[in-house]
Amino acid sequence: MRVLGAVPVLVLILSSPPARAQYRPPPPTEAAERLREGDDLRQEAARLDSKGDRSGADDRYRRAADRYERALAADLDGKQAVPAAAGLGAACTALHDYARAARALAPVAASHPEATDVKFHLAVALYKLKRYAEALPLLDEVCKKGAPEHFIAHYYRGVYAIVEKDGTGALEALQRYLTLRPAEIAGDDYQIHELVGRAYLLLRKAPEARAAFTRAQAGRPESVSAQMGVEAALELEGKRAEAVALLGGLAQRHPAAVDVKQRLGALLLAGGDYARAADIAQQLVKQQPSPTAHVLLGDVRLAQKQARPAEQQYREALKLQADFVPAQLGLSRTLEQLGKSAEAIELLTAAARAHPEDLALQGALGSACRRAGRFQQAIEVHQVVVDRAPRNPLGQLLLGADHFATGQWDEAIADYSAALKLDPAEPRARHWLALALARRAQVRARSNLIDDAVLDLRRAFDLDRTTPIGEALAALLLTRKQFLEAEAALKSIANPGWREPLLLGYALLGNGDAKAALTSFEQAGLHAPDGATRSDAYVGWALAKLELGDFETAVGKLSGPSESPAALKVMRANLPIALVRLGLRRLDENDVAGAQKVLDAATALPESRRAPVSAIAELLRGLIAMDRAQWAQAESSIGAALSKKEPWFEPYARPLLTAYLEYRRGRLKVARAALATARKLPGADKVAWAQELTRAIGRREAEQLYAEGALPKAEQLLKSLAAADPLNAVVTHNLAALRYRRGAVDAAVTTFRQVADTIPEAELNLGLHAQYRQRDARAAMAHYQKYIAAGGARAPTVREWVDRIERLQGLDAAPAAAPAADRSGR
Amino acid sequence: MKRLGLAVAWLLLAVAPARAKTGATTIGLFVPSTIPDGQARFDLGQKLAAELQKALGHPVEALSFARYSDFAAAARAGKLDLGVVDGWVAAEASERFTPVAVAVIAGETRQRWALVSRGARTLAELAGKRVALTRGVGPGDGLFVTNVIFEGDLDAPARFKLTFVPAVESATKVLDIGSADAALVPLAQAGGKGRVVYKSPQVLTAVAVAFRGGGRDLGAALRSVGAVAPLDRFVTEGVDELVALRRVLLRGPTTPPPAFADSPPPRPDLRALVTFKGVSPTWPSFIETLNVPSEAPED
Repeated sequence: MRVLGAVPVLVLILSSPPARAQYRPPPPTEAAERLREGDDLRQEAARLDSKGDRSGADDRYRRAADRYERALAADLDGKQAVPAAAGLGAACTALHDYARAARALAPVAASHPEATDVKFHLAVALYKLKRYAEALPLLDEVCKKGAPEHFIAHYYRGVYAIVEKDGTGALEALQRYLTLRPAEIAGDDYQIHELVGRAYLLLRKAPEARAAFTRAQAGRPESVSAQMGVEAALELEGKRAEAVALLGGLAQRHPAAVDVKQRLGALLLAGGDYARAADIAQQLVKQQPSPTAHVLLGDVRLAQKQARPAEQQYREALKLQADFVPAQLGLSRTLEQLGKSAEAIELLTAAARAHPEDLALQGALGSACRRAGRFQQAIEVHQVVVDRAPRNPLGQLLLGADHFATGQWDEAIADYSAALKLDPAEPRARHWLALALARRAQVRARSNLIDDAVLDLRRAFDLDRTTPIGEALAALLLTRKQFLEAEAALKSIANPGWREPLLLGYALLGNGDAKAALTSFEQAGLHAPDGATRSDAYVGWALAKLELGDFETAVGKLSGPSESPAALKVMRANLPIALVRLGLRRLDENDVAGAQKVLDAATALPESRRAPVSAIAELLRGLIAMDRAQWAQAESSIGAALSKKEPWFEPYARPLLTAYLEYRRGRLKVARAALATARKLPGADKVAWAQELTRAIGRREAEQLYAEGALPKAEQLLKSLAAADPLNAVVTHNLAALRYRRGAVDAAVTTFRQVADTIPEAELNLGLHAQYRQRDARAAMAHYQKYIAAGGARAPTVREWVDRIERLQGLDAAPAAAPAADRSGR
Repeated sequence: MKRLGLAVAWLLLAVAPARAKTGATTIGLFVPSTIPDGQARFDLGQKLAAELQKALGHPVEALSFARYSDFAAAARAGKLDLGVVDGWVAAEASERFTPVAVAVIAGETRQRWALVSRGARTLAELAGKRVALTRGVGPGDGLFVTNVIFEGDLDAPARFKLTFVPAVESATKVLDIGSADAALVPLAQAGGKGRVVYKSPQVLTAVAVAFRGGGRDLGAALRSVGAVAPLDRFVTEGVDELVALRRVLLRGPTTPPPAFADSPPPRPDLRALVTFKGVSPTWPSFIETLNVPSEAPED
């Protein structure tokens, strides 16, 4: 109970006159007589003490105690027993003879449960004798009564709570003390404020703690202890530099204050400033070669990996105090560093035996065993720590580390969970529980227990939102296709490197946001540490391109080189599908040769033989064959590609493509039949292309009918086509051509002129009109030339016409004026 | 005209041995524009007869005619079973026959004609000039030039002085000696010194026609005969064209009907047909690369 240093106020209070005057009517008994003498003597002692006559006071107190004892002996169960015991307690306290008080007061307190005065003195005596287990119930009882004269009981209660790290209890008791203490001793309140500050430190309330220490300091010369309290508050706030500066200044102003240097050294050591820490520690050793100074220097040397000098310092400390636990701990660690694990364990075993109550020693012994590979022993020793301090998370943390080291994840998780239950704010318990969960998740994932692994990692990430755990969770979520959660987890990681944007890219891709995925993959590529990881990033990038429909780029990237074997595997797996999709795109752009080239490249890859890529490739082959009028090949390929019901094509795809094939082939009736089949399938009626194909078949039929001379039928069909598709220039033109033939010349010519820009045949027909109706060879030629320039299908024939007209020019184109039939007589 | 008379003079008007007498098949040839040189025409007849004889298994005789009127007379007299006639002449003819095959020459059943001139560069320069050409049936030969060669766009007899000669080689000859300003000959025979000022559309070469029935067997026999120089063979393809050619020749070309525009075939809308559902790309294994921190607690 180092905290209970000199408490002058206590002496003052205990040596004051009894709270109430004792009135005893005559005749006084022996006991009463002794009691009165005792009281008188105690009064005299207080008077002498206040005059500064300490020895005189002690003499009176001793004599008073003697009188009280005699009074007690004469009347142990009588009326005088309680006041005599109270008086004896007060005298003994003044004499610091607590054993005497405890011995004499205990029976009185037991036989007079109502005697709070006696209990108060007994509690103080027991407390001073460090018999806390007996003292505390009595102190609590006295505190509960709340008698103002027993205000010091609150002080003891508060101090004890601080030692027990019970900040709330301490604050309560100390506040009570400040309320009850007499005004005359208010001058010493600064000590209480310091204690209040420490209570707040326990409660991790840095501003309140700082305020309390500042209050303790107010109006007084610089107090080292108050300043150390402020420093502790700064540390709590994470202001290490400020704390170091404060301690540095304090050490300069109070060179004798070894505590300050000790703290400064420890702080510098913890902050990694080994040089300054060593300097301070050396100063300390020189100034006051205490065990703690040597230990500090030893700790610094150990941190500097200077095992030998460290060992020397610890041994120096042990020379000064053979059982100095910090030195024993340091020395054992040093021995371990020197490879002398057995010696370290031996040292710690002896130390732990000598200090069975010291948990740190016990813990260190177990940990040394663990590091030496003696796992079972480690667990046994640490179990002792748990048993001895079941409310201290330390034991569970140590056990957790043992189980962690042996890969017993379930046990480690249970240990850390227990530690966290004892102290929910314990950062190590949180961290290691998270890591144990992550490790178990890894094992589970590798055993394909993905769901269980996700549960572990979710919990781990909740405990410890660090990058590696977030990454691992996201990776598993991606495997389970839980893209939204993966995205959320990855976005909550504070300082992403290269792998998080890579995983985020896949999460975004899974969520259908390929554009954002592309950016994320680019980010990953930018931060990738080497060629292999860059390859990994760019595979994702290529897949995003694929999703965005940029097949050309995707194919380029997927067929390029890669430094990562994993990336290469993914590239090879995806290249065939990228190629066939590129092929389909090329075909869509009318680049049949390009499509064929891509198809050849795809089929050269062994991966393209797997379904469904093989089937899509076959479809591509069929479509190419159709463009090349290789009908048999087209028919067989399309049939083979779309033979089974697969989700990658619509059920009406096959009949529609069959209809298209027959249409291209010119078998219009068969085409119509296939189209009718397709139309019966759900969804087909919504396909705009099916309508387009229907109309195309109609147009082709009309062309056939026209060529056969079935003009009324052709006209009927064209009319219905024009009604269904009024903006179709081909239909408009052909209907006009048909009507021209049936005599509606002027209207047809007007239509030809209207559509001449888009339909080359309109120019041809205008040419024919000019040549044969209007007998205007020049106008005809102009129209024909426009037709030829527009690349009309009949251009070679028309070129001959033009040639003939040109050659005939100058001959006055004689026959033009008369129909050929009229010249038959020549 | 004297020259024409001279030309006719050497023509051999072979008097066919009466088929009735011999029981032989008689083939009559009138190909003055398709086969240049009378000897060649005669040889062709003989070779063809010999080949047909092999094919038919009975005697075949060939009669090569110099004038169409003689050919027609023989036909009308029932002396001919089969005739091989220039296509344009057959189109112009009014005799009853059945076309059974078309002659293939230089791989084609049709040939272009050329107006060849020694001096003129354009048709315009030939206006009112002498143009020599082979005499066909006779009265309608001008229509051949107007309606077939110039496709009805030029009234040939009105614009040129048409000079008829017995055979194509005569036309070339009169051009060479300056008796004509131009000659209308099959393009394949226009390789002389003249300049081609006009090329006609394609016209049937020569056709085989059957008289008095029996055309099917004779046609089949003719088609089974191989190459008989300068003919490659006889085929049935193009036989129908004779009717069209006759119509054009006699009545002039018909006005072409307005052309229909071919609607381009719509491209299949693959997006509506192929969903690629379930064809998801292969992703890397995230389990294989699952990394958790390897740090272990130490105290």
